[in-house]
Amino acid sequence: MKCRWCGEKAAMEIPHSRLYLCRRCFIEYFGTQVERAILQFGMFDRNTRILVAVSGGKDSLSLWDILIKKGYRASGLHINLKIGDYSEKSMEVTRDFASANGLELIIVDAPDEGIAHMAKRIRRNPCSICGIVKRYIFNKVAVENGFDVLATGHNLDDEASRLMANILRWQDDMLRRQSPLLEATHPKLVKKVRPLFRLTEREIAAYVFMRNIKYIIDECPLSEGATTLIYKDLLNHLESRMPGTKHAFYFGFLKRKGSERKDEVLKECSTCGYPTTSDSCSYCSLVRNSPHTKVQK
Amino acid sequence: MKVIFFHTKREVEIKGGRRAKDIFRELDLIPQSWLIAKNGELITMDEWVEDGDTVLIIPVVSGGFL
Repeated sequence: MKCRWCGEKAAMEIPHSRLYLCRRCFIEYFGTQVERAILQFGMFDRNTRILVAVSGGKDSLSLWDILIKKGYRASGLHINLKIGDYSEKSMEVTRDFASANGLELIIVDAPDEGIAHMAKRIRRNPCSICGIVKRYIFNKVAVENGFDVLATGHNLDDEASRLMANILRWQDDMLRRQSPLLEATHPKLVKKVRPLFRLTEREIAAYVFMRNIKYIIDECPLSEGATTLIYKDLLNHLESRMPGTKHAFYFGFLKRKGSERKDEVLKECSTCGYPTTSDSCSYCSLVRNSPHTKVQK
Repeated sequence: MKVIFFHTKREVEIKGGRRAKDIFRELDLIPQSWLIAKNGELITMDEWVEDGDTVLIIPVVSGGFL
């Protein structure tokens, strides 16, 4: 099969768009989709100070790579989650990427107690605990270091699987908040964006392979059996029979949702002072009784 | 041909040339969840793979949860 754009040998098919592209044109397509997402939602411009949350996985590294390649001002933030070898390897690939490209990288440690222990202590699954810890640190570091925007590597598969989970359980509040852009509605809340939301996980995996970006391929050992992986698998089976299903599902949701968003009433957490909808934020509630951590005000 | 799974390094030997999509069928994989490379380059599902080629199967879902 030949590349639809230049006639060279194709390296990648994109069934939802009936496209076959060679390596060079695919990399161009990838950048165009990211630029389109940025413009569509007014995420940022080339003067914006962007903090990219970088885990060492393919999504966040490809996001950092394409933003730099397109001339955006993007620094990285990596959280050492202290999940044994997995965290060591993640930190190593992130550091290697930053130093190979001469990029600023901020590394922050998660609470000493550890994700697995916290999850056990309050009887919740580790992924939700990890989410609370990461969201809190991402926001705090961005605010304290004067970044305008926090960018994460969520892709179309992440968004579609999350949408499916939210619909299956009719999580109205989560559905209202699900968007590639969350504006800063408080001086201590940074604007959050997801510039990869137009690209599938498969397209991102192809991009990192073509660009020869080293990333952590192992799944997080704590995510075994995570429901998001079940939804992703389900959507991939639907996609294989009906190409374009994921796009129609998520983009249809965004179209119906429009820009309507009821802003929540935010207070400041009584412990750390960061915005929350209750008296104490989720992070402080989580670590309050931890034997190993202390929240600094 | 030698088929190597990128993440586990597991190797499978498949006899005879065939198209990439037939390798997927034989290994019971769906293209949405994997990429395939022949001799270090990504290929599309219709591409022919010779007996002597080295094939890499790359999982699409991988680490780094955000």
